[in-house]
Amino acid sequence: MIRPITAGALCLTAAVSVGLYALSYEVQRLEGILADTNTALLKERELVQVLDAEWSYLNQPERLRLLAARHLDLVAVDPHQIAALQELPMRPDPSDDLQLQPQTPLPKQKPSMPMARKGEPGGKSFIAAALNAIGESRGTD
Amino acid sequence: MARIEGSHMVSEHQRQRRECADGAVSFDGVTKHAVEVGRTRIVITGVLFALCFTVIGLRLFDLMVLRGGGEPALAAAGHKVVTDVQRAAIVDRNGVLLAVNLKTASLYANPQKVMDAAEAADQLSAVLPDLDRDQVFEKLTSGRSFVWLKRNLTPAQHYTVNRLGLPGLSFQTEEKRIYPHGALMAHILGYTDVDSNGIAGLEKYFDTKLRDPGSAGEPVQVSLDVRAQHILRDELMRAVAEYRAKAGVGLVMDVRSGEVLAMVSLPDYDPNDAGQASQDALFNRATLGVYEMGSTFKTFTVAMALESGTVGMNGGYDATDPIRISRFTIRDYHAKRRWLSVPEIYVYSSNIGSAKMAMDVGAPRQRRFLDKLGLLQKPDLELPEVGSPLLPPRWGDINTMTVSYGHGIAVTPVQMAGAISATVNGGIMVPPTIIKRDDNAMAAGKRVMSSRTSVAVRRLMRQVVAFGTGKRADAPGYMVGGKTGTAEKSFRGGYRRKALVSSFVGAFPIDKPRYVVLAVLDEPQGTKETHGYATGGWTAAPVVGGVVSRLAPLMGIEPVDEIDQDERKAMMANWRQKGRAVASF
Repeated sequence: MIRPITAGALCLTAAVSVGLYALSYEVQRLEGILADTNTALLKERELVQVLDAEWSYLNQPERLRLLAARHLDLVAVDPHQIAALQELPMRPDPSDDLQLQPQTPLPKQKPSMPMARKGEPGGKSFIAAALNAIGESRGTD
Repeated sequence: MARIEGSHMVSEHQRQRRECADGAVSFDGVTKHAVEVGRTRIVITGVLFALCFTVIGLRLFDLMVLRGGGEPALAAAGHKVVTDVQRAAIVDRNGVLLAVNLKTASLYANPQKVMDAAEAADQLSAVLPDLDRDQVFEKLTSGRSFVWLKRNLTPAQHYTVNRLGLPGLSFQTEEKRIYPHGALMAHILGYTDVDSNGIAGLEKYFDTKLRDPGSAGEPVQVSLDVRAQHILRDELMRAVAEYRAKAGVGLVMDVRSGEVLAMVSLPDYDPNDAGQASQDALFNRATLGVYEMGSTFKTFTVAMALESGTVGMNGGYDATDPIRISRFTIRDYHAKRRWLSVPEIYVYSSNIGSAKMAMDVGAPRQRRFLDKLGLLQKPDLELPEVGSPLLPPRWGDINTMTVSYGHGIAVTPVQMAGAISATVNGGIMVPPTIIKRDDNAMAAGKRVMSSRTSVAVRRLMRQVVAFGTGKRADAPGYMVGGKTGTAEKSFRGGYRRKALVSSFVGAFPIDKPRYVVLAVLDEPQGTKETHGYATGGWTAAPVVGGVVSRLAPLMGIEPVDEIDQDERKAMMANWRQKGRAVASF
């Protein structure tokens, strides 16, 4: 009776030991991977931080203003260009023949050109381009 | 232990005797004694082992059953990676990076291992142009074992030096503080020394917090907005250049939270290269500089008089003759030489009128009122460079009069902006801050005047811009209200007529103020366009107008139709005089 129990216990001990060692090495291996990943992550974060700094540098408002002035036909929003919803005129009655009579247009005024400063591109271009386009189309007529 | 063993022995003896009595086994003499000792020892060992196994068993039970679920949390906590930078970043209110530590390579040499110092010096000075060849040579022949050659190389420089392959040179990874926006926020951020110690501005004030590894690189978020800051600096720089001013100060403040949205002090410097900056450029005029603000102080005088009830909006004072008191004469620059109503005193900026108004209120109440607005004490701002106001040594009648129109008292621009915010926001004083705050800061503020007084002063401020000295501060659609100020600079006990501090303080939209804008120019010179005038209305007001028209659309403020009669009426003050044109002052 005592022998099978001893044998069983020995087998169990051996099995548990093997299992424990396997587990222990597995944990060590995973911890190694974790440490590597963390190092890599740290490195990536440093790179991201460099990119963040560069992004912030490239987004300097003054630089953006110069780029916008050079490449875009945009000027600052004029208060006259903004209208509230309730200011919109009602849809004219289709049966009414007088619908074509002129109404106050919205926006009420064309944007002024305050942003066009001396020696700077931009500002001039929007309306100038529009006028040119009109001129050209007239020329072909 | 011995006693315990003894007691065991006793019990063993008794057991032995009982066993003997049963007649099972029995020994005699020496043998019996030896066997008993052996048995006792086995029992003791057995008990000890049993105890050990019990402890191990309990511990296993504890680990496996009782602490179930603890491990996953522990494992997850291990994943949190802390950046190992020595100093946290600073970001603006929208998260735009303002200051950050980056790792860079620094070049050092071990002169004892350098083979050919002359050639190494030649090659290094060729690829790093800002290194002096002779100095490098001297360092490389010094015989020491460590000399810095150049700190914080750019990645490209790092690469080229590496490619030279010179023996005895090495790199050390170091951190450098980078300010991507350069001079834009110089005075707020401050700067650090080569070892990343904050030595000015926010960098100094929050030095311990920024380097605290416990906060795991959590950035400090300031209340400033890069866009607003740029607009303000741009407009102010233009004015400083155009009117050849010595210096300029600009401030934009949220009236509801006391947050500073933009703060500029010119001349400024690039914090990336703060060592090159002059003392003049390093000086933060917005918080450390104190100025006699001049007529902008009349805003507080009127508010004080209306609040204490000594005069109403329909009241007024006789401003026919200058006031003579001791050796001073208080006169108006564009004297009307007649009785003036309260709105007229404010809009025409009458010194005589405000002096009389303040005398009616009296010195103690004036002092208390200005104190409540935070004008008499050093402001509590998150910067090391904060100046204390200069107050009159004793507050006599003459001081009450001069303080009423902003002379004989010098305050910092940030105090001025804070006090104006409290005046226009409905009468709640919220202490200014440069750190982002939640919006309900006004609830925690202290009431310093009734909202009725605040509304009345707002109307007067609108009159100044609509009809008075502040016309050039107008931004169509955004209802600017404000007050011009022009103070002569004190000089050797007197005042110099030609050296002025011109200022304008405005709020918009004045019917429901959101932001206060302040511009101060130090010694501006008149130009042909301003007809030679260098006063606040001519030089500082356009800065505010420019800032408002560019900032308002950005901040989502809806423009109003100023031609609309209702809008006009709403902001009208009781206006006694028909003539609207007012000479600029």
